[in-house]
Amino acid sequence: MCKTVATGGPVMYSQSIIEEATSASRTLLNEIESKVLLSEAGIPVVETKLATSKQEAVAMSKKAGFPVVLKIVSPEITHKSDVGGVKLGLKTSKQVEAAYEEILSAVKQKYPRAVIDGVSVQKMARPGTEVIVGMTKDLQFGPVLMFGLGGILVELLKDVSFRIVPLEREDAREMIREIKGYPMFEGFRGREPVDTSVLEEILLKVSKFVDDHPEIKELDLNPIFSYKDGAVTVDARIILEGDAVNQT
Amino acid sequence: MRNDEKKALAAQFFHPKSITVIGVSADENAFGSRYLTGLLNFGFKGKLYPVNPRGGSLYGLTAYPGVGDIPDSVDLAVISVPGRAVPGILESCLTKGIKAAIVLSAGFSETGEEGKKLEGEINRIIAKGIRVIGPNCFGIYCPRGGLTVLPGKDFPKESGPVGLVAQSGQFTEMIVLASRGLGVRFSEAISYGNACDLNETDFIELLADDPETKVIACYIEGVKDGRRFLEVVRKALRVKPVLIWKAGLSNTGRKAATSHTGSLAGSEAVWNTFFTQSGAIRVDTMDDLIDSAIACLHILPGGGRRVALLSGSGGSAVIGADVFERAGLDLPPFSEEVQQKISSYLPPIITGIRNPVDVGDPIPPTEKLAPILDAIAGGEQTDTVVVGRMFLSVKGPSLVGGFPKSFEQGREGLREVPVRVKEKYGKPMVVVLSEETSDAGPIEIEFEADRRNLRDYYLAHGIPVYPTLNRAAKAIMNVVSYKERFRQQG
Repeated sequence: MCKTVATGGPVMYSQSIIEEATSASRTLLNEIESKVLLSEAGIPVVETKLATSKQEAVAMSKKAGFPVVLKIVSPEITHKSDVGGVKLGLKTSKQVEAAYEEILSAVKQKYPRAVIDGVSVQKMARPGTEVIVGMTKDLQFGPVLMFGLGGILVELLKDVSFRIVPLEREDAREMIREIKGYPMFEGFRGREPVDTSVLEEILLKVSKFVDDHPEIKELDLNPIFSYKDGAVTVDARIILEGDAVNQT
Repeated sequence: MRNDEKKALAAQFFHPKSITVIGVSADENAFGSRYLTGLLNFGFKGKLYPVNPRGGSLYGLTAYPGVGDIPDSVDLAVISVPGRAVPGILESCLTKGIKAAIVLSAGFSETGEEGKKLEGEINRIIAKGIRVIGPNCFGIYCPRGGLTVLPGKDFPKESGPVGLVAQSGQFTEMIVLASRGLGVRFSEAISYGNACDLNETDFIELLADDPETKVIACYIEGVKDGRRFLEVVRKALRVKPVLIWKAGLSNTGRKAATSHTGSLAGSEAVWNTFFTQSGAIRVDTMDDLIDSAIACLHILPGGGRRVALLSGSGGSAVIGADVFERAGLDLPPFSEEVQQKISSYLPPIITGIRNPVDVGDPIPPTEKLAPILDAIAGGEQTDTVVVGRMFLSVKGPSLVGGFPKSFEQGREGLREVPVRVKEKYGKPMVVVLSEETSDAGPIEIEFEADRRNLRDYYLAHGIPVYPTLNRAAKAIMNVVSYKERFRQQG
């Protein structure tokens, strides 16, 4: 499932992404920038491209293979689906064209002055057990990783576990087993079981990634689709420290 | 910290050969005077140099107008002057070549912006080459070094296996004194206050290396560098148990967050994580801290999750089973062989022989208790033996108008049974002695004196005594969890 990320524009590298954002006084990295950074850190993500026109979106969809997902890319919009900025399961070029226009008009209606970079295009990932991996900073302990079941359940049930960075393998193993929903990964009631060693690997890589980038303030990989033979990050968001912006 | 650095700090702060106390005056109640006389009373063997601007003689010692006037070299400076004068004094210590200072004075970062600035000045002097404990602290109690804290002139002079690290000076005093009656002694107790230089993590690192310290107990409000704290505690736990009482779990320090992770990770959640991740023993009250420290000393060697409970009353046996299982301990049934032995000493109406065992009498005949306790402790499935509701009968003396002499004599033999059985099998024994008293005044005093004597007797023989089954269960579980995680090989 692990794929490299290509973008519509020139190839981006982690340092240049962060530098570009900070020079523009931006603390929120968009989905595509976030995925490039994560991918460079060896974390599996769904290949995602930025389309700035309907035609581009169709071409990219054809290349990725249907069905595809289109999402708004804007530095000012964090909750994309709340504003009609996400269209799932698009099976034809026609549907992609329509979705592209619907997304732009919905967003423009709700946020007439929002800066819009374009629309992201990615192959729709096979459904799996959704998990979230995140990082926040504690005043005393520094970066802390979070793990939990993803989707809306993370907000509703707060069934999550935490570990202080840097994680050891045992920490990653334990934090997965600590959540109440753990039986979901063991094939609860006939569901597809999940290879938790892949999730452990992701946690360890995210631990190293945030350790290597102190300029990152918060991060969400939400959701990650996990399967019996792998896992892939479907959406991601990285927030930079305000200080990093001020320094440049 | 490097090893030579640790050695130097331990020598300067725990075993100084000469101390200057700055801020001693003719006023006996001044903190500086109290600190000096405290050291004199406690029996500090090294040289003492009081400093007072007027010089002269104070408390039988020559006082010097300034640190620079002291004729010899000095290992440790203890500073008790008004906050504003501290930076100047510290500079003079630096000039004198003193490498270690304890600042008792308050009025620093704990008071607000002005104090924060003043503490900043101290930090600039520290950077020039002097190590500081405090400000706003009570100092160090180290019986081996003849040192005691500000209010510690009557602290025990014997050293012991517990190392205490406490942010609060008051708690340092309270914990040492509350432990005194329970037979717990300290290798060091460090009241470190604002921790502008040396902090909780440094002291845990020092105590982890100290062969005298077998258990590290901490009272902590906040840490400066949580990541290093986690790393140091993890490392210390591999060699000895670390108990942490964390106070002040509020959300005030929480930043506004824009991600899910940020909104779900409050400071309490992160501290919970610290405990899970490190394996440090979490305690929530002073009783808890002392209970668990005692358990670490006596239950850690040889103890384990499988508890055998023997009780003098049926109700207490049932409650005990609930309490122990809820705490996470096991009460496995005894083997047929052990059950048969037990039942041969009990009347047939008694049903509790599987574990817990209900003897049905808080003061059973010695010839009955001895073989029963022997059978239980000898059982293969027993790691830790707990005896509850035994040896003391609240209403007994009043009902029978005092115990007859023969009975009192029998009771002495009875009380020795747990000690003999513990020594025979080398398995930890715990005794629960209830603090409950009846409402009849005269008996309460008699009962309480009896309870304390008995408690002291067991503690002196390495048998932890707890006032309730709940506290016994929590202390045992704390130690068992530590042991299972860090001492798999027993």
